[in-house]
Amino acid sequence: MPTTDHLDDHALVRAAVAGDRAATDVLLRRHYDRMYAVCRRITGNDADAADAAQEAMIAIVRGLARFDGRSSFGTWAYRIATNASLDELRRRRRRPTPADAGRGDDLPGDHDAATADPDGERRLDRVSDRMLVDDALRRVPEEFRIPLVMRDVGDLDYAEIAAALDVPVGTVKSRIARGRAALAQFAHAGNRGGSGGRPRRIDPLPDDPRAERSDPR
Amino acid sequence: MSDDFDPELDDDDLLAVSALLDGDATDEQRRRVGAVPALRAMYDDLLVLRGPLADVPAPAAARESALEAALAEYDLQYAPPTADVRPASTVVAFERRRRWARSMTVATGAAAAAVAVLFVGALVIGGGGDDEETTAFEAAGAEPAPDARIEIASADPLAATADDASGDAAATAEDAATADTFASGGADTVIESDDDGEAGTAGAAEATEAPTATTTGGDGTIPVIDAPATVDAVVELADPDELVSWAAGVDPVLPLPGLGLPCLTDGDEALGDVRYAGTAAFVGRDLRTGRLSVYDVGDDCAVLARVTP
Repeated sequence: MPTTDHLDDHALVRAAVAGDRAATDVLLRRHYDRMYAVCRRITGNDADAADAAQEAMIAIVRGLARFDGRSSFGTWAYRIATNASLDELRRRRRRPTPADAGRGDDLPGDHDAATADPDGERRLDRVSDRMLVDDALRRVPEEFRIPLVMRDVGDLDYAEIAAALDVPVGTVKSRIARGRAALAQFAHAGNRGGSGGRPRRIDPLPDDPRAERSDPR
Repeated sequence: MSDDFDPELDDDDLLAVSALLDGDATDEQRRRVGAVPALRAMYDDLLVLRGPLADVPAPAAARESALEAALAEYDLQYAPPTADVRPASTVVAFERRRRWARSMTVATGAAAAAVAVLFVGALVIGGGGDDEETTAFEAAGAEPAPDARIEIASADPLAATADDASGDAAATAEDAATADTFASGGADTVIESDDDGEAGTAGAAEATEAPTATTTGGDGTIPVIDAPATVDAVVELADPDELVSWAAGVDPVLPLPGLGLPCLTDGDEALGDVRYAGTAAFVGRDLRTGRLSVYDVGDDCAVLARVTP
């Protein structure tokens, strides 16, 4: 039986649209983890991330025939994952009960991974780092967190983020810069065991013309 | 983490660090970061944070569940319409759950009617009998009249759904799969999401499309999916005028308590599924302004049209 594992994404898309179920499986499996990471970092908890990632996977299947190959499949998929995460955030806001209560942190994932590994000193460090980043990222205002995650987790470029968020490229750069500063600040405070000390003021961002002077990617 | 971190950096400083991280820095920005210890410290910190930021292990169960749901959707979209298509998984796609929910509504109504027929019939039988003391409850417990049994038989939601879809092999297969799924007892049934209240949303019309995928062969182009036939009767709207006219006459869709509807924000109400200019879509109305928005459910809620009546 011929394997499709070696095919590149575009070939897998063509095969999937032609009715090759195995190719679809390979394609989706190849990108799920990164999509989940994007969703996890945007939504902030495992349960919402799993929902968003699953909806994104379904949306990808529905849209396969419309994927025109102008961007990489990954870029397209991570953008869909971002949108699914934003939808999840909107849904969460409409939920009558506090969204984060009992969600996420008690699910298998980051934390269990460490305790399941008996001699995982390094792994524990990784988990500790992840928890530090989790906590810090959760405190970064959503306006800055979303483009930051799209850039540093989804690996989308400025123009793609700008298109997805419907804002100018300069605004994307400014938001990412502020998001990173906030992340560094909160992680720094968390690493020192503090509550963040005197936080740098993170203002809502007007379109920043200074950023437009930089070369767009 | 460096102790040189200084939270009092200005926006140009932040942009310089950020640009350097993205490989997008100008010479001036590069010099700036190199010359200011606090900027250098932030740059180093962010370099360290990048790893754990992207290092998010996906739970295996979530991955497999998502893949199963996506492949079930793939089977719906791409399986040959003439085949007896039954997805290998027990995942229930949104659309099938919606269909099932609609069928259950029909079934509930029919069952209520059957109970009413039983009740009235029993009253008539009881009233016409010799024993004038027979109570309504006692009468209701009597053997149902044949007519009532017929009513109950026709109330099978799955049979009703199959009838609706008669003539369409794909839809019938889908219904059969649904019937199997729900008849299996549910212990191992996986519902792909907990958003049951999102009836009338993403992909509602597309779900019933009979896929007719054709490939263009080995020329490297991505094949085109021919315009499919639909099973469900979905309102066809051609332009904003028809949209406004249609919206004036429909009642909002009510989500189940605690569950939202996709594409819409807090200030919107859902009006339901349509096909707008030939595209499967979902219509919402801004409660404050009355503005109507048509979302492409197959394109991640892209806005197809907006009009304020």
